[in-house]
Amino acid sequence: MATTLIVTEKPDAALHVAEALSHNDSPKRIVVDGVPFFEAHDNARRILVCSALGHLYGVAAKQTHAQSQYPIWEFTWKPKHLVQRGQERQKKWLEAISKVSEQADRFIDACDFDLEGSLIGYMVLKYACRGADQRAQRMKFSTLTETELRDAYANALPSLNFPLVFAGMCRHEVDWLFGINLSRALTQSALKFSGRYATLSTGRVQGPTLRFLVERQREIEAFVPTPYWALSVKVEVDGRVVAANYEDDRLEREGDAQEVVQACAGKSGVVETLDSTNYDLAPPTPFDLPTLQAEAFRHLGLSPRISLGIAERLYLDQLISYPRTSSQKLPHSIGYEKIVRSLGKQNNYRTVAADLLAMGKLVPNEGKKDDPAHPAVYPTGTLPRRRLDRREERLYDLVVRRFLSSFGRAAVRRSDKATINVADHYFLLRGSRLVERAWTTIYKPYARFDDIILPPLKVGQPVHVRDIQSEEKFTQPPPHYNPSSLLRKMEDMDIGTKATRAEIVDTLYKRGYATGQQISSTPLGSRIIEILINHCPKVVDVTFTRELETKIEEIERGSETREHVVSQTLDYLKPIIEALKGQEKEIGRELTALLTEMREESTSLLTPCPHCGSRLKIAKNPHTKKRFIGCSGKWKNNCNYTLPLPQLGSLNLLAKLCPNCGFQLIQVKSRGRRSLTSCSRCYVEKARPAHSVPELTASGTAKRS
Amino acid sequence: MIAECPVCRRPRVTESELCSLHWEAMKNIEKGYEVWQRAFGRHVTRHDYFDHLVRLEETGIAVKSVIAYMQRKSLGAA
Repeated sequence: MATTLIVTEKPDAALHVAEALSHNDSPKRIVVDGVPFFEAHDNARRILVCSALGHLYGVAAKQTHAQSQYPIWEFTWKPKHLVQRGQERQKKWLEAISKVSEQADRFIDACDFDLEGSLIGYMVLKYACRGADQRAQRMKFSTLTETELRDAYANALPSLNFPLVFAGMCRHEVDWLFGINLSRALTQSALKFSGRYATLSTGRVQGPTLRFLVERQREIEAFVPTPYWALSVKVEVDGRVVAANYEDDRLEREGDAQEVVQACAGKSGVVETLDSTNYDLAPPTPFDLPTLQAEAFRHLGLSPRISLGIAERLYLDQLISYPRTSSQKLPHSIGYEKIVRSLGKQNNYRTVAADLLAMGKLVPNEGKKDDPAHPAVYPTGTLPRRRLDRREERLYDLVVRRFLSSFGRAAVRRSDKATINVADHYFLLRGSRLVERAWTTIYKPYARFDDIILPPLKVGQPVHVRDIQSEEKFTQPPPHYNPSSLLRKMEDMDIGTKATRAEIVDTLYKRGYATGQQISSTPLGSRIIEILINHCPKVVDVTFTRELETKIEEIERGSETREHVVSQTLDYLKPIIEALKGQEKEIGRELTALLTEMREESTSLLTPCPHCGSRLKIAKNPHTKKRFIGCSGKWKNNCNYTLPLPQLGSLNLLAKLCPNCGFQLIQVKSRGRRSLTSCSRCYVEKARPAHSVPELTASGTAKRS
Repeated sequence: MIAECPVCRRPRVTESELCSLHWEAMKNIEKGYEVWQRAFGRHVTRHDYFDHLVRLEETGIAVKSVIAYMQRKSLGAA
C-alpha cells in the first residue's frame, strides 16, 4: 500500500497531525521497537506520522580528537547519540524512523515552520530516511487545530524550505565553532597552568550577553550617589487640598530648594494657566514572542524561559498558535470572528466577545514587526481539553485578552495641567483619567492606569500654599537587569534569536556567571569577561555577532550562502583562537588566580582586619572545632584579632556592609528558622569606633599626615 | 610579580595603586565630592562625605570598599 511518512518535531504534535488526518476515526497507534507511530488513511493511502525528539543530529568534529585538543576547524553533522552521552532514546528513535521509512514512497516534513524546526525535519529526512529531503514536501501551519492541519496537508508545499534549513545549519555550525574553540581555550589554559580542571565556557552570544551584565554590575558597584532636593507641596484650592509639583523635579542645590520654601511657605498664589488635552490610547498590538515574555514577566512574574515553555505547551494543546514568532500581525485568514465567537463560549470572555462581535467588522491593531513564517500569537478558540494548571491558565488568559483587546476601540485619556504662580515660583497640578475605557476593559488586569482627578479650576482662581517641604534625595544607581530587560537588551542589540535568547540567559545561571532575579554577574562571570576583554576583546564584542545575525537572515532570504558565512566566520575566528593559544600561559595564570580566589572567596571577608589590614577569614579551631573570624596576618604581623561567629547554621558572606561600622555582614541560615543577618564587629564592640578619614589624592593613595 | 590592588588583590591599573574597578570607584568618589560640595553650598569635610556614602544604600560596594581602605590607611598612619 502507498505510504506517506510525516515527520513532526514532538510526539504531541504527531498525535494531533494523525488525529486531524484521521477525520472521524481515532488514529491507530503502532509501536516499532518501542517508538510510537500513528497511522491514518487518506483514501487508499496509508499515512504514518512519527516525531523527532527535538534535535536528533548535531554538529561534531569531523575526526575524533582528545578532549584537550583545539583549535578544531573541521566539522560534520552526526547523530546525537554518537557524540553525546545518555542519548540512548534518541538512538532507538532514529533506528525506528529509518526502518519505517523503507515502507514510504512519500515524505512530508511537518516540524515547526522556523529555523530549528526546518533543520530537525531536514536532518531526519536526509540521514534517517536516506536522502528523502530532496523529494519531501512541507506542511506549513501555525496552529495544531484540525482545520489548519488538514489544510496544510492538502496544500503541502512541493519541497522543503531549503534557505531556512541552511540558515539553521549555519547558526549551529558557527555557534559550535565559537563554543568549542573558545571554551577549550579557557579550560585548557587553566588546566595547563594549574593542573586543575574546571569547566569554563563562553560563546558567540553568551560572551556579549554576559558583558552586558558585567558592565551594568560595575556601574552599580562603582556608583556614588549625589544629593538633590525635591519639593513636596500641598495647595488648597476651593477648600480642597491637593498635591502639586515644583516646576523643576529636582533642585541640585540645597540653597535653591530652601529659597523656594522660604519664598512660598504660607503664601497665596493664583492659577495662571489651564490646559486640558484628550489623546487616544491605541489598543495593544498582538503578541510577538519577546513582548509576550516581557508581559508575562511583568504581570505574572514568569521568567522568559518559563513563559516560553508554558506557551509551547498551550500550543501543543491546540489552545494558542505557534509562539516562537516575531510577528505582531494577524492575517484575516485566521478567521477573527470565528475565534472571537469560540472564545465567547468560555465564561471569562463571554461579555467581551459579544461586545466585540457587536462592533461589526473586526480589525486588529497590528504592530510593525512581521515574520514570514508565522503570525502573531493568538488563541485558537479551542476549549481546553484538560484542566490547565494555575500558570498555564494565567498565561492563556494573557494571550486571549491581548488578542481580544487588539480589536478594541482606542481608549481616550484626558490630561489636565494647571500652572500656579506663587511669589513668581511656578507649581504644576497634573491630573489624568480615562474618559473612554474602550480596550482597557478587555485587557483590564494587565492595563493599569491610575486616575488623578483635579478639582474644578479657573484661571485667576486664588490658591493657598498649605505646606511646602524640601526633601533631600539621592541619585539612584542604574537598575540590575532582570530576565525580561536582559532579553530586551539582547533584542535591541540584535544578538541571538527569539527562540534562543531565553536559553542563553539560562546558561549564564547554570555556568555560575549570573545570579538572582535582579541579575548580578558573579565574581566568576565578571573576571571571565575581564580576562577576555584584556586578551581578546573581539570575543565579547557585539559587532561580529550582530553582523552574523544579519547574514543568517540573508541566508533565510536566499541572498547569502551558508558556505560563505561559515568561511567568513573561520577567517574571523582563526586569528582569535591563535592569539588565545599564544597567551595560554598568561590567561591560565589569571584563570588559576581567579579559581583559587573563588575557593578562598567563600571563606574570606571583604573588610580587612582593623588592626593590621590583613585579610580576615572564617576559620575553625582545630581543637574545639568552633568557627570564628581570624586574621590571616597572625603569623606575619603577630595579629591576634578574632571575632566570634554563630556555631549553628550555614554562613553566607553578604555583599553588604554594616551601616554602623562598615564591616561585612554575615547571614546565618538554620533549618526551620528565619535567616539572621548580623555584624560580628558591632556584636563585640557594641559601639561604633571613631574613624579618622584621610585626604584622598588623585592617584587613590592616602596622604599621611 | 604583578602589583596587586590593596583592596581586592587584583592587578593594578598603571595610573593608580588600585585595580580598574576600584580605580573607577575612586574617580567617582572624587567627582562626587565636587558635586556634594556644590549641592550643599558649603564645605563638606571628607569625613562627613565618606560617612554619608558608607551609610547610603545607593552607594556601590566598590566605593564602600575603597572608603574602608582609605580609613584603614588612615588608622595605619595614625
